[in-house]
Amino acid sequence: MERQIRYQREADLEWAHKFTKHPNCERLLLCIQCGTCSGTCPLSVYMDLTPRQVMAMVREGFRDDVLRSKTIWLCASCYACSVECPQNIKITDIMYRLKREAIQSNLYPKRFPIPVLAQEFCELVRRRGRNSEFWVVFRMAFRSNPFVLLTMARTGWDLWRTGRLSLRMERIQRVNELQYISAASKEVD
Amino acid sequence: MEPSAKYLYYPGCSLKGTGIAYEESLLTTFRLLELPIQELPDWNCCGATTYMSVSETSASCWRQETWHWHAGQVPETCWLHAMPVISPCARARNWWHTIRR
Repeated sequence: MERQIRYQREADLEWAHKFTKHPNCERLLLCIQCGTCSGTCPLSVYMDLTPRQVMAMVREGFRDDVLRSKTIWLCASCYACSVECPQNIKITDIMYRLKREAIQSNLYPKRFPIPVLAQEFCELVRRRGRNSEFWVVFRMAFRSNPFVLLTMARTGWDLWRTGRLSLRMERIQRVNELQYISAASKEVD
Repeated sequence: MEPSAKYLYYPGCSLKGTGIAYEESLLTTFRLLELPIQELPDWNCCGATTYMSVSETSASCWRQETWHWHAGQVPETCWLHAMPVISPCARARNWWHTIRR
């Protein structure tokens, strides 16, 4: 059985210190652990860690546990927590930063569709300038769990029948310009 | 593209996909109200919420890109600056607002 509790020596306080230096993450230190974020979050019932726990764990430096969790990926960016937070912590922006770090350090849950979707989406937009919903979903399913396509077939058919699903690959004319920008911004990152 | 239109229309990818019903009703409303509306030529994806999870810098660059390419670099489209932008997608609108502020 896997050990559930964490010891202080596993925490990376230096990482936590660095994390709170990032723009929009400074106010994390002011968190009073009231749980308003978890209470307002429409998705917290599906999360393995609630947003309040994420805040506490980031602050204490439990990096790998946070970056491996599904919570950061389930965040739908509705900003309800940021609006309600009595300490004005920008929780959604903190979630975004955690997502980026999870991808960079390759700790995201590999078969979980949302991080896969994010990467496929970006890849498609980088190459073509626009997102074509059908192809993003198709590639996401292919990389995470191809069988999910079977369960989506009915929905897909209904969307197709009502003209809401297009198989066309959207593309813009000045895609070179966009790729140039992507390359330049990669250096900044 | 002529500067005859009163409003610029930035649809966003979802209004060309599953949200096409919204686009149809919006454009019909504008036609019935006799408000001239024109789609921004060669717009690119705003990245929505997904792009932020991969790279923050390129996410904000892209959003600026679709705007500045028209408004700054091409002199004959300078009039775009003065036009109100209609962006029915919630996420795209949020970004437009941030850029123009």
